[in-house]
Amino acid sequence: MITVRIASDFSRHPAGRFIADGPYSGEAFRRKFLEPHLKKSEEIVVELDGARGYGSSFLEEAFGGLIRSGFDKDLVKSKISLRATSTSLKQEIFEYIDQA
Amino acid sequence: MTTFAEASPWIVAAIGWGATHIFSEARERRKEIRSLIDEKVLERLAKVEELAIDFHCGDSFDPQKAHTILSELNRTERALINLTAITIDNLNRVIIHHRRAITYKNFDKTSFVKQEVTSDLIFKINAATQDFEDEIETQYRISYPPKFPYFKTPWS
Repeated sequence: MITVRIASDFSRHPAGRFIADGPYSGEAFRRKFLEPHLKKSEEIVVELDGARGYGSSFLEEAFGGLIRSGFDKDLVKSKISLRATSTSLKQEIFEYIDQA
Repeated sequence: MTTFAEASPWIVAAIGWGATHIFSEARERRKEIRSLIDEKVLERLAKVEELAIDFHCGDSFDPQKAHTILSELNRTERALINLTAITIDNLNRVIIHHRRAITYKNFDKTSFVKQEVTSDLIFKINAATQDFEDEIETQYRISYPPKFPYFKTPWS
């Protein structure tokens, strides 16, 4: 099982949807921290606390983008678990996975 | 030996004092929570709305303003989480709706287009902010009713 702490492993200021929007975008996070582990069917714990806030476009691209990249919804939901004080962030992310 | 008849006025006085104390505390707690909601949440929500409109109506994408908005949204939610008097899970729907109204569309460098104050996006931000405020008020009134006994009871 892999634990990814967004604030310390990626950025305290994650922002933007696409890589063209900046180095700490949702697409960059997905490609670097989620897709490689999912391809190996590894379980990933994503720790969301510690960052200075998340935009919906970042969250949608990071997590909803997995489905558009070809990963199965059930696989994504079974392999990724979210840790966050904010329950709204967890709910929003799962909505993006479901709606993608 | 003190008889029950002799002690009963004291018992009644003690119960009366206890009841007065409990209801007075509840009324004070209600005022305290009201003030925290006004200062820590509603004022911040108004500020976020102002920042968001300023950002989306700006001539060009401003990364500093975007960071400030994300920070303020984060602080608003943390303030609500710390305000244990209100069950945060009951607010998740409006928190998501509000965050999405501001940061889902037109919030990134590659997609940014200057908005008019009469645009749909700005109307959605206004509406989401008001829905958020209304839901906070609803949850506050549920937890702290404006009438006696001033707190939520199992039968209320």
